Amino acid sequence: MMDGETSWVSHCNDDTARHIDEFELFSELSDEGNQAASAVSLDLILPDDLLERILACLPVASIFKAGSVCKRWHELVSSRRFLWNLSQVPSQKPWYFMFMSSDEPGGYAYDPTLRKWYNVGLPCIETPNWFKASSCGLVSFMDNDSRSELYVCNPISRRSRKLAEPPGLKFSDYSALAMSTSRVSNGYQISIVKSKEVPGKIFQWDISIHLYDSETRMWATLSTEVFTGWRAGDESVICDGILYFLIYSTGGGAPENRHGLVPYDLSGRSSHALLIRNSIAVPCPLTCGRLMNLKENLVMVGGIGKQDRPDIIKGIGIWMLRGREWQEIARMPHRFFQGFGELDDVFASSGMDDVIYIQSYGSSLLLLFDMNQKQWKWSLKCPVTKRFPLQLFTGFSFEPRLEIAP
Amino acid sequence: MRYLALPLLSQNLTESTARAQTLSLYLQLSLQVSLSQRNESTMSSSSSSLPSCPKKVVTLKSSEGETFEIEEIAALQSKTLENMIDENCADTPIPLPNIKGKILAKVVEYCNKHAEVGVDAESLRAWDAEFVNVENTTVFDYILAANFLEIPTLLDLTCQSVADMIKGKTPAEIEKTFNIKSAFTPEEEEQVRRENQWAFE
Repeated sequence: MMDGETSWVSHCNDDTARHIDEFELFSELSDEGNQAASAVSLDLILPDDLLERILACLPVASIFKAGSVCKRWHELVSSRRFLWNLSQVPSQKPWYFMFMSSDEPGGYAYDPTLRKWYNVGLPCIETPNWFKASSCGLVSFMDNDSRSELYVCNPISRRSRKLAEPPGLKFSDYSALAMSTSRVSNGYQISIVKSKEVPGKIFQWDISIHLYDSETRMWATLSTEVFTGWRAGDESVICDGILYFLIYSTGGGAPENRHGLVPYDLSGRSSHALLIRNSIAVPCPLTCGRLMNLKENLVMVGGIGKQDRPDIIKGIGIWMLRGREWQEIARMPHRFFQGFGELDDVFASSGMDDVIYIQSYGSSLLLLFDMNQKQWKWSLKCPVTKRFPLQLFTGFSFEPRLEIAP
Repeated sequence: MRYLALPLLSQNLTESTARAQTLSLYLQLSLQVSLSQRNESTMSSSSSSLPSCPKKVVTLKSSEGETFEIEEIAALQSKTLENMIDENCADTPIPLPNIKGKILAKVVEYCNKHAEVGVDAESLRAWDAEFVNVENTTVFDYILAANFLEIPTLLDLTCQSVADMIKGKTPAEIEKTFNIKSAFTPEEEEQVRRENQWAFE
């Protein structure tokens, strides 16, 4: 219950008189049939709680614009009660942040609701090759050198927090970062899957899973295992309390069988069986796979490899995991595939809620897939342009939420 | 049923005392009668599930005194009206002194439509879109009425429609649409803009 809400009886007593006055004034003017009955200030007709309710329906950028109209509106959108209102609104369509260069963290964020690109500055991140993970408006960044600097931030409010250094092997060969935020408590968990080749032992990899909990502010090492012939990479996501990460064949296996998926129950309820025994095969030979959480369902966007040459991309598919089976959701139509120009066998893809973004590393073209309507659509042209032939473009998606704090 | 305490009428009472006592008796008696009538009517309304009872209708009275009838089942969408129905206050016309007839008629129409069975989501959405496709000032009237009568679906619909009016507009355009009198000065606006410059480009 909003603390602003009163029972109908007291509401009647408090506001009726005011409403009657304003209504009488208002109806007199409008009865004149005069279009310039907008001589009356429309927003004065609404009490604060109703105006707040309206403003809470707005996309984030519009909220800031509304806050710059007049003192009353500015006070309303800055109030704590308004932020509470916002947390009740269902998730907004995720934005996609595209980096302008490979060295600087600057770039533009795409808002699919208003179809605009904003020159948002990201806090904490130093170079585009840092690891990124996002959930419910919070984004975590981890550096790509020592893999020991970890921050959680809200890109809209720019508030951030530095977290304790992750445990386990420093300078691991591969790390995968994932995050899960609770909409109810605003607490979050961050997972890191580390892979390091066992020195002297060919095809053997030390795989460890570490978990950070914002409630305890502590790291825990949940699992350590040696994989033979497989390693983890940098693709992982948490859906509904289960951590999923992609594994890659390191040799000795069939060429078509290059990828796999390992699920790990973070609540620790799973059996003590080896993780590798529990792995799930991918639906077809892939050139690359990108994992994402769409309304707590695991979705994978994958580059489909040619039959005879599985390392060459011939299309892009979208699958959803149901239990241990993959259900195909969509295949990218040829005209969009061609629209990217030359699509490498690897590409960037990220998404949440109902939207999937796909982007080629070689250009700033951005494609959206709407899971609800099963529609493909190009974004508005990005202000970032290719300045030299080998320029690489990367990005990630996040939900714009003004009110959530790390 | 309480028993009336009958005062003993003795010959020693003065005339005025006797009159006073009779009057008091009469008042007590009439109170008892109206109480029992109320009990009867409460009992009968709780048996409205009998097929022979007519469909319950609630009467609403606008600010100008015009009356509008709405079926109880449609009226239940308003938490305000639902409370009144539960407490048996809905047997007489309910005065709504802050809602004009023109608006009340439309609100009744909305509740009736949303109480209908067998309407598919798609056509209801289209109907809702048409419902709010009216002048700004009318939508504001709907918001106030929906808020007063506590009709959550109508309140959401109308608030979203005003938000849609604001969405995508510049601060200057918002000022014009809503005819804001006490807008920020250019200096004040500049200061606010600077806090989140990216949203204004």
